[in-house]
Amino acid sequence: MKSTAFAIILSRQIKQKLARFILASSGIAVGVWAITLTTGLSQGASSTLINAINTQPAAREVSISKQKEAKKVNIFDFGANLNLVSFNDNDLQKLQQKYPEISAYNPNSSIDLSILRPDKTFDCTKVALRGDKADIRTPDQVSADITEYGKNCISTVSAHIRDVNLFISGNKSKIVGDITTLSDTQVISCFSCLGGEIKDAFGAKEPKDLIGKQISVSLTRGPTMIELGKGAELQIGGGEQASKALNKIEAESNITTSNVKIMTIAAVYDDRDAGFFGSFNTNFIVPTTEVSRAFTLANPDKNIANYGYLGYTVAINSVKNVDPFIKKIEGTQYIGASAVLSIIQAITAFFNGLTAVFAVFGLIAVIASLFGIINVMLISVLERQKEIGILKALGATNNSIFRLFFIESAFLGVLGWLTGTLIAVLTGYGISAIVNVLLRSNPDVAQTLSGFGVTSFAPYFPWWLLLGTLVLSVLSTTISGFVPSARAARQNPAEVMRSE
Amino acid sequence: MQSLIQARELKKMFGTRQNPVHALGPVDFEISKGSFTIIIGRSGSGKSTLLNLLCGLDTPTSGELTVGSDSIYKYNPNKMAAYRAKIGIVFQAYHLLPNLNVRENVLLGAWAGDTKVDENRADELLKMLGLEHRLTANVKTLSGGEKQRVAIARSLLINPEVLFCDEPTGALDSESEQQVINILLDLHKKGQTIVMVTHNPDFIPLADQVIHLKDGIITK
Repeated sequence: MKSTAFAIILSRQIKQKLARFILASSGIAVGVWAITLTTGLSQGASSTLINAINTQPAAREVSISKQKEAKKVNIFDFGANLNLVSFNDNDLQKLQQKYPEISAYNPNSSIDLSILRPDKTFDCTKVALRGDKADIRTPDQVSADITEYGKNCISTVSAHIRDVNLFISGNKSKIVGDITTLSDTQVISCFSCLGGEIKDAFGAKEPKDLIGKQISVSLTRGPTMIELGKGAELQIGGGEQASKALNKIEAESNITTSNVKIMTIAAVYDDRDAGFFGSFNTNFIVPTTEVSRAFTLANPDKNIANYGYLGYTVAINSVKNVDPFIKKIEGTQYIGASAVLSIIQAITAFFNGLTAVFAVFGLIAVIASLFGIINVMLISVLERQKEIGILKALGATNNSIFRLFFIESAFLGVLGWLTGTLIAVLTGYGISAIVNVLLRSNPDVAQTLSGFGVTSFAPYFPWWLLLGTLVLSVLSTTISGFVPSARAARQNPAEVMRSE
Repeated sequence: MQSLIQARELKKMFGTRQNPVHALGPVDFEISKGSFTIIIGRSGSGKSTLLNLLCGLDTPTSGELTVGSDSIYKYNPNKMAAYRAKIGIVFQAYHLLPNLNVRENVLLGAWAGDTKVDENRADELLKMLGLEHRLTANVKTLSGGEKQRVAIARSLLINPEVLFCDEPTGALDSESEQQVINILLDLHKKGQTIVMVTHNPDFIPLADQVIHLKDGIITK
């Protein structure tokens, strides 16, 4: 039969029986609506969350360790042995040459500083150290120490000895002030951290008010460094065992005190609207020269060039290169891990699981509708026996008649898909509009979210979802339409025309 | 005249093996090319059963039907469909598709069997049959005579080897009946082979050959 005839007969049939077609395909539409809406919303939520996470500096950071021997390691293989050795900037320079996506690196280590309040003369370090040995003093002495400490000193600060570039690459827009050259007497300060002690001490209202202020600092704990090539045998996820091994290394690096050093606040990290991830990255940052000072104070007889760290954090030039980089260094001496990537994978898995659960409900609706489709198609065949007879009498083959009804059943699938998808898209955007109104009605929430690059929520309907539901719909209705179509094709023209 | 159709021992039974109903035959006859054959008989005489067998709409219980040089009951379903696409059939109940307009119903004669024709021929035929003003009309709005003329146009669109007519005037008033008979006579004059089933003995003088059926058997 000519395709023109197919098109005309089908279009007239649809025109005449549109209400029945819509009703027959409504089950498919409900199923497609449920699957598309829930998947669209969860995909939207998932991508909003992942995009928000990816705006954070930590998203581009990868923690790397060096193994004694090259070996492929699954960092989720809890209980497996890891034989780590220390490594230093020389190793990182070589790594950077091999993997140019590494834009910056810094050791995973920090030093503790005690900071004297402005215009005070008091040895904060000594009080802090005595406080640690409170068990050998009377409660009154301890109380007096704490009072004196609070009056004169700012809480002990754990200062990162990060490379400044790594910090900038994370979130430059959060840095207030000039930090292109951080000399050995300069620091980057946080603003709202430590319960506001820093800004209160200087009466600063804005981050820029802290720039140029001088602070007196004493080292109370040096960097954790160990001799190159030496390390620790740890178990992945080893908990107490791993902590003990690391504590042992740390204990060897302790210093007891250092002279007071005057440092200038060269830049301030604007942490006023920092969320959980933001505050994690804000603290004091001291130049790497402080490492040498702290190391020499703690180990006057040792050469720092022969020492290194058990871990480094590297910044990757783009979020999309993080996972490939980790995969590239697999099987070498180095192991890479991104906490953010793991979180993203967990979020993706969670939302995919959620989508699958909701999709089951949609599938149930689709399956239930199949019986309706079979029924409608059988009625259609019965009603159109005369038409089948006429077409056969005029030379239509069995195959043509089968195709005519088969296309009709496929059309039911397309109609159900179209209706379901359209309603799902409208409902999805309707829900997101309500969510956006609610979010914007609370300025604090809106401001916090904008800190994460989230200005609005929108559902996301990926192409595979639309294609998948179309295939599901058409497949369902064509399977349902197969038997009625075959029955139509088998009709004896003389019999069906005699029945008229 | 050259023989076009030969029926040999053609027999049709309905019902079950236990309760068979004899509908036709065995019958033997020949139809010549370019002839006007009338199959006549009372209601229930088996004339429509015979026409269905001639048109390939049904299969006989036994016997053979040769059209040209082919025994058509040996055809597979696709070849049988191709045979039906080459012949023209006019039914008493017209059997037009109500969803299609007049022109589309005529074109269906070629579309259904995927036969290549110049679609302008549909317009020419409708003009010849006096329906040029109803080309896009819904067939539901036509009179019985008009519907039958559309059905005739549909059957003629493909230049059929044989035109089979099953009581073509059975549902028409006398004026329309005369119009349809005149059309058929015109076609016959132009050389069209026509086989017409009727119960009306008035048409006997018009035919070259008459097959009288009674209780499924040819009596004359």
